[in-house]
Formats: sequence, C-alpha cells, structure tokens
Amino acid sequence: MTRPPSVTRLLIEWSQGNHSALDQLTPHVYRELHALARRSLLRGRPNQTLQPTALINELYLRLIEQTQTIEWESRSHFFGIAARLMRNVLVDYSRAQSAAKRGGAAVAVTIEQAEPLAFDRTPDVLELDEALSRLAERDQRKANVIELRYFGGMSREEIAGALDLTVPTVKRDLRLGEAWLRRHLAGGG
Amino acid sequence: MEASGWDRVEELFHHAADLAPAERAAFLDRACGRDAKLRREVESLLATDIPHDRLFQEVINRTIHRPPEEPEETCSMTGQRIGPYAITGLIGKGGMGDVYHAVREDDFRMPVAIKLLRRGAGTETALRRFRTERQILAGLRHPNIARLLDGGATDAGLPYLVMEYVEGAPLLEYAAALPVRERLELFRAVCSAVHYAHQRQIVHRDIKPANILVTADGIPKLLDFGIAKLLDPPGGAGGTATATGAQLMTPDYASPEQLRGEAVTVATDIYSLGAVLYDLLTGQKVNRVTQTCSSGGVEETDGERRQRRRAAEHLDPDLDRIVLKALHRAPEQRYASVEEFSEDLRRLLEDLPVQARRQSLLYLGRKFLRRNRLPVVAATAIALLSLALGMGLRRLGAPVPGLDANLRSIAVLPLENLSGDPGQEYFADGMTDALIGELARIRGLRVISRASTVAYKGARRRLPEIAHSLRVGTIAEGSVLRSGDRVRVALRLFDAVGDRPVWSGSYEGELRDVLAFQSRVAAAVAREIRVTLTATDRARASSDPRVNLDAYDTYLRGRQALFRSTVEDIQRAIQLFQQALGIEPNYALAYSGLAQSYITLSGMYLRPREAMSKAKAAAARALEIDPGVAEAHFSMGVVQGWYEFQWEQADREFKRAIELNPNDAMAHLWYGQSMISTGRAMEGVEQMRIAHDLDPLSAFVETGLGQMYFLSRQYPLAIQQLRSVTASDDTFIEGHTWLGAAYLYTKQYAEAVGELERARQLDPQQSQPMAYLAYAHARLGARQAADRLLRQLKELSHSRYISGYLFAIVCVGMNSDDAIDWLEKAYAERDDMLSWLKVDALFDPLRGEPRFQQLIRQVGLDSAAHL
Repeated sequence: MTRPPSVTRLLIEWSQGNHSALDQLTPHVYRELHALARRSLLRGRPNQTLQPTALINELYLRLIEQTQTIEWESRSHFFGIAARLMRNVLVDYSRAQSAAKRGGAAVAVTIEQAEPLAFDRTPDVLELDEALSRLAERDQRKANVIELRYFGGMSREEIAGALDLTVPTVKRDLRLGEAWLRRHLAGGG
Repeated sequence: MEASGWDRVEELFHHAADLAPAERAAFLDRACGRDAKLRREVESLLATDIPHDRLFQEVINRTIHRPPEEPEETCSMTGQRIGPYAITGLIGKGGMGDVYHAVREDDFRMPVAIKLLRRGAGTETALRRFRTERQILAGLRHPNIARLLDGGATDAGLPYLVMEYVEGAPLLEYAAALPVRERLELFRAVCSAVHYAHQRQIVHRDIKPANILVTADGIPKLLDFGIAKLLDPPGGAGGTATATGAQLMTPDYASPEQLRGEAVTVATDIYSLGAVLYDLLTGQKVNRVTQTCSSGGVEETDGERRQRRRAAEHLDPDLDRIVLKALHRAPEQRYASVEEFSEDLRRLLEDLPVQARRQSLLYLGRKFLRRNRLPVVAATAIALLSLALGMGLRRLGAPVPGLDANLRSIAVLPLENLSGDPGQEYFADGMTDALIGELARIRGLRVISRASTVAYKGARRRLPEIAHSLRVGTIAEGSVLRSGDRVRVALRLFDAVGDRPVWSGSYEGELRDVLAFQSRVAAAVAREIRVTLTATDRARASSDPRVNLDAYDTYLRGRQALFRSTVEDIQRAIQLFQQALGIEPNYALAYSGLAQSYITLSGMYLRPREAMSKAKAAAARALEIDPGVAEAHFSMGVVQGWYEFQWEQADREFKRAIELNPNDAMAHLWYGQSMISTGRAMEGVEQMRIAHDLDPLSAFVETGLGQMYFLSRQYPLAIQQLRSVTASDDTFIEGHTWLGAAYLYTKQYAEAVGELERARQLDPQQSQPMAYLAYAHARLGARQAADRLLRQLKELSHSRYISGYLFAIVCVGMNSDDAIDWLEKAYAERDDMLSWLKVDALFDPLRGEPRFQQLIRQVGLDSAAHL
C-alpha cells in the first residue's frame, strides 16, 4: 500500500524541481492557512482584523515542525520554499475567488487586463505577485527579501539570517524594493 | 538600464532617502550631473518611497481574509411572484441560488422558504427527473426535517423549491451554551431524522451545521434533505463540486469518498453527522487534510493531528471513540446505520457499553458492574463470549485510528551493535531485551515484546511504518557500544503520531552497574513519554543492584540462545545460565532463565517429570532470591498448572507475574490458555487479546489464538486465524501443524493431510504433525499409512519423550481402545497436553467413559471452573 506523500516529502521534491509536487502541496497549505484564518476568526472578535503575520508564522511553525527530521540545505532554502509556497497559495486562492465571481470562467489576470493603479485602490495579490516577478527580473535579491517579508511574514532580522545578509542591507532592500513595487503598481513601469 | 546602472540607482536612492527632502534635489544635481534618465529613475523611486506604509501587508491581509459579502440591503425580488408565492424578502445567498422568504398567496399564514436556482434545469428530461425526485423528497415527513412543500420552474425556466420556513438559530450557535448531554440529545434528534430518510432510501448528501436550525422550542430541523442530489445534473458524479478551483474550498463536512467523487451512500451521511458532532463537541472542524480531491493525497500535518487530538482529549474517551468511528475514512468501518450511531450515543448517555469501544471484555465487565452491581451470572459471560468469538478476535484488537491515542505505547527496536564485531551482537540484543524488560515493568506503558520488534533488526524501514505495524505511538531506537568494561547506549525516541524525533540521549556506564544503568535509561525514556512512574517503579529504578560482569555477560548469551528455541539452542541456554550461576550464585534472573529453558524443553524433548521438576526448583530459587522477578512467577504458574494440575495456585502466580510485569505477552498467553482449559473462556479471550496487543507480530501468539478457537469449537475462526499464520510465514512449522489439526475438527481430512505433510517436510522429527497426520489417514481409511506413522512415533519415543496425549489422538482416530490407556500414561508423566482434555473435541467419543471422567478429575479440571 502506498501512502500519500507527506508535506515534507513534497516540499523536498518541489525544491528539487518536481513541479507536480507543488500542485499537490498547494491545496494542502491552502487548507492549513485557511483553517488557521477561520479558527482565528472563530476565536471570537469576528470583526477584528486578522494579523496575517501571526497567521503565517503559525503556519511556519507547523511546517518547520513537520520538517525537523530533515536536513535542509540551509535555513534560507526552507524559508524560501515556505514563502514561495505561501505566495502561490495566495495567488491561487485569489484566482479561484475571482473565477468564482465571474461565474466560473477561470482566467488568470494578466497585467494587460489589470486596471492602471491609482493609490486609492489597494492592488490585489495577483498584481503584487506579477509586480514581484518583474522586480525579480531587475533584482532577484530584493524580490526574495520582499517575498520573505510579506509572504513569509518574517522579521527583518529573520530575513537577514535566512539570506545571510546584514539587517541594514535587508532594510535597504526592502525600502528600495517596495518603492519600486509601488511605482510599478501605480503604472510607473 | 544596465545592471551597473541599477547599482548606481540603488546607491543614489539610499543616499538621497537618508537626506531631508529639501536637500535631495541638490544632492541629485550633483550626483547625476547630466544623466537625466538616472535622475528620473531615482526621483520616481523616491516619490513612491513611503516608509511605514502597510500597503503590501494589506494586500496579503485582504487575500487571507476577504470580508464576507455584504448581504444586499434591499432584495430586488421582493414583491415578485414565483408560482403562487409572493416573495417577501431575501434569506440568504447560496452557491446554487438564492433563498427567499415568501408566503403563499392564498394562505398568508404559512411562511415558506423558496430556493430559486440561478441556472436553468436544461433539458426536458432533466426537468422531469427534477419533478420525480422532488415528489420523493416531499414525501419525507419528520418532525426534525424541514419539509419540501413544492417546486417548479419559473417562467424563465429556472427551477425553484419551496420549503417549510424554519425560524431558528444555527445548530452550533444554539448549542454553544449547552452542556454536552443536551448537545448529544439535540444531535440524536438530527440522527433520527437522517435515519428516517435513510429507511426511505434518501441520502441527504450535504449534512452540515449550517443546514441544521434549532427552533425557539429547541427542536432541531434539518434543511435541504436530498437537495444536493436533486440539483446534481443527471449522470453527475455525486453532488460534489469538483472543479479545480473548488478543490481549494472543500466542504468541511463531506466524507472522503464524496470528495473523491465516488458514489454517495448512507455511510456518507454518517461521516457528515460525525463531522457535525465533532464540531458540536469541540467547537472545531474536523481537519480532513488527509482527504484531497486530487489523486495525489497529502498527509495530515502533525499540527492538525495534534490539534484534533487536543480537541478530542477533552472528550469522554467513549465519546471520542464514537465520533472517530463515525469519521472513519473507510465507509465500511463506520457505523452500519445512523440508528447504530445514535444508539451508541444513547448507550453512552445511559452509561452502557458502547459499540465503538474496542470490545474488550474486561471493559464490558467493568461497564456492566458499574451500572448494575449484581454478580455477573454465567449466562451473561457465555453471551459475551460468543459475541467476542463471533466477531473475530483479530478484528477486536485491530487498531482504530485515534483509539490508542491515550495509551502510551512503545516499541524498542533492536539496538544497533556499534562495536563492529558481530560477536558482540548478543550484547546489543541483551541490552535491547533488558531495556524492554525495564520498560515493561512500568505500569501504564504498553511495551511491545521483543518477538515482534526483532523483525526490524537491521531493517531500513521508515519509523512511522514500523509504528503503524506495531501499533505504537513511540519508537525507541539506538545503538550500543561496548568497550571493555564500559558501555555506551545512545537512544532516540521517535513520536510516530507527530512523525518526529522527540528526544535523544546517551548513557555511559560501567558494566558492573549495568542493571542500575538500564533502570536509569528506562526511567529516562518513561519520563520522556510522560508515563508517571509509581513509587514502586521509582524505587526499582533507583535501586542499585550490581552484578558480576562475567555473570551478566554469560546470562545475556543464555537469553539469546533461549530466544532461538531449537532444542540445541535451549540446551546451550541451560549451560550458559548454569555457568552464570557458577560465577554469581545468587543471580535470580539466571535461575529464572533456567526455569524458562526447562519449561520450553518439557514435553518437546524432555519428559515432563524431569523437566518440570527442574523448572520448578529453578523458579523457586529465583523467587527466594528476589520475589520481584515476574518471569519466575510466570514459570511457577506454568509448572503448577501444566505439571501439578494445581490450577488455583497457578492462577495466583500468573496474577502476580502480570502484576509485576503487565507487558509480558507470553505470560498473558499462558494465563489465557489456562483459563480456557479450566473453562473460563471469556477471560481467556481477554488474556489472549492482551498478548496479541503486546506482541502483534508474534506467530506464537497468533497460533495460540487459533488453538483457542478450535478448542472452544469456533472452527471457521480457527481455520481463518491459522490460515493467516501460514500465509504470513510458510516456514513456521506450528502454523501448519495447528492448521492441519484444526481441519481434523471439521473433518476436512484431505486439507489436514496437506498442512501436516507440509509441517513434516519442514521438520520430519516433530511428533505433533506425525500424530495428527496419523489421525487424518486413519479417518480417511488409509489404515496402513496411519499404522506406519504410529510405528514411527513409537520408535521415536525410545530416544525421546513423546506425549501420551498424541498417541491417544492416533488411537481415537483408529477407533482403538488403547486411547484411554495412553491418556493414563500421559497422566503418569504429568503431560502438559492434558490441560486440553476437558475441551478437546477429538476426545468427545470417550467422554462417557468413567476412566475418562476420572482423568478429568485428576488433572484438576472438574472443579477448576469456579476459579
């Protein structure tokens, strides 16, 4: 009897370039995330804003706990994977929601279709994802730092540790990277 | 822009950003000079540099937590008519359509709920089917079901359903403030509704708390019965959304098979009811991550499992079991009907034994006594026994996920010998044994016997897999390094439930202190798996007995030989134990080992009179030195029962042995056999079950179980049990011998011959297959073959002991009058097989004989039933 592969296994396989592993992981992590969000909501205070960082941290704890038995090539590798996964999950989730709203016609939002951004409108995660991909073409490290910061919910110190950078460097990367993203999202190239 | 250009941009950006805004222009003038493009780039980035901005946080935040769609303030449909109904307001929006509040035009007193579908029903066939189904559903009349009143299609061709309007609070909300008992009663009312529908072949398919409203009178009403199917397009898989996007939004209460798009049955509703009950009791949703829509499933994370267990820990263990039974992944493992499910809840409420509980007879007894403090009468015992036997012991002991969650259980895998010297293997094995022994003394800890873990020696199997096979929550593995007088043990504990290592430690000590050393390691392990040591355990662990190193070493070699159990090995074991005693005359464990060796040889090789008297002397000496040696009490019990036929005394010794070491599978096995022999089959079953739990992979225990079945005349079970033994190990002689014997009881002589021949092929010198084979041939009319075997047996008996009981069996097969003579000879030898005399069906033809009756009295089996 073959047992379904574990999250850990899938994470490793994915990190080794098996893309179908990601397909299996995504719904799982999504559920985890969603369950966490729901639970936080159920804990009372339905109108209170969720703290996504706390949420993501909790998810992290779970993932890390799960993977303690494995020797990760490095910490950054793990955090990179987790943050990337989170990004994927959120993007997929967002896509599914827009698809549902449009009556089932699932079409990925491309940048051509996206409305020019004005600052009175918060961009959605699909737009952020796309902008982040553009930034990566320009400066991979800054994209990584931002991914870890927002999709990974990590502190600047944690990012520094994970990517082997100094904290001031992380701060500077975040500042310029965010400025670049804002400009891109505002339609400023 | 070139990469180097980007570096320049970065440099200037940071520099400028650190300046006061007023100073930036001057800085950029200087820095960029005439490079307008560079300056534009830096300036535009500075323009979007907003420190402490929460924009990105906000993006994530919103994705995770989309605000619920605002219910529309006004309902555009209000005032409109659907059929004879006038819409008065919107109740809610659903996936399939919207639900409106309405009244019937000609009867304003009756409010209804109308579900108006967004999509058309399509073809004429679909509409016709819709109508038929609707009529079936409209036939459901139950106080806890919101009735389907009517239905049809609007002018635009959109189907609608008219339902009883229920004004009430959602189940979970209503129940939040209720005590558990009332929640269960509420839930049982829902069960009665579902069962009612099931009897009419209608499955709900979408039971969830949102579909259950509780009225102000406290009456739960189940909504949308069968609607999921009604709305399912003909030929659709099973009423579940299976689109890729929807995969992310799996229903929280759907069964695994439903999520896979398989056929939906009664079991599906049972699962959903279980999920609702879980939520109702714990306030949490059952995490069903193990069930994914995609073919590649994903395991539940340990976090979820822990969380689920944590929630369940607050539950009464029986309630926990009931919920888990309903939630079993395999539909056939769930309750067979909602009625059964509900009945178990009722039994729980009334403090009766519940079905979901593993059918431990002790448990049943305890429950029975708690409720009704009258003496348990024999009739009850017989009824319970037939229940247990009828259900099949193996299944009773089978793991039900989650059931053992509270039971601390551990398997110690054979420790690895790190010395690099294969000659030191015995030392690692001895250490493993000792550790198992030490742990086994700890109450509240189930320790798997060595016989079951030895299979994993050197095997590179995944720990969770091993834990699953052995049904334990924790696995200990490690290594031993012995260097001269020093020993070092490294141990790692692995939490199979959490799929992670929980502890590791290493211990170094002198071999002189090896016993104290072992106790220390065991105590540390116990601490790690949070078993509370009793005062006695602690005293034992802290005592500091010292043994002579050579004696200990020799003793370990003896244990290893004893464990192998060929005649030569056991003779070697006896030598080694005696050698150890030569070095250390007061070595209780060595005496105990000696007793075990002689018991093993009795009847198999030595005459009982010789072997058993030696076993008794050794056991007595061991107990004299240390009355706390459990194994010696067990040996003493065997001698008193099977040799002296003093079953009451044997009973006391077994009890004491088990008290001292509740984890010795063999002690439970023998104790169980003695109970069966003396007519206490019910308790015997329980002991056998415990043995099986402690030693789940042991062929001996499995075979013993099979023997017990045919002795208690449960032949199909016996054959099934023993077949599984031979199937899992074709070279296990006893498996074939006793399967062959079992066939004799059902008069399947040809099958018997096949199995017994196989046993003979494996070892031509064994007396039991020979005797049973002779019986089979005699019954088949092959007199010559039977005679030949009898002669061989007799010849063999010149060189070694052959049980008179076996000769008697051959004689019964041949209808020879010598059978009773042989039994009397067996009695003169105090043969241990005589313990079967009272129950063995092969001797039924002799039961009327006074001499036979006399024998029964002599072996103490006439009066033993009162034990």
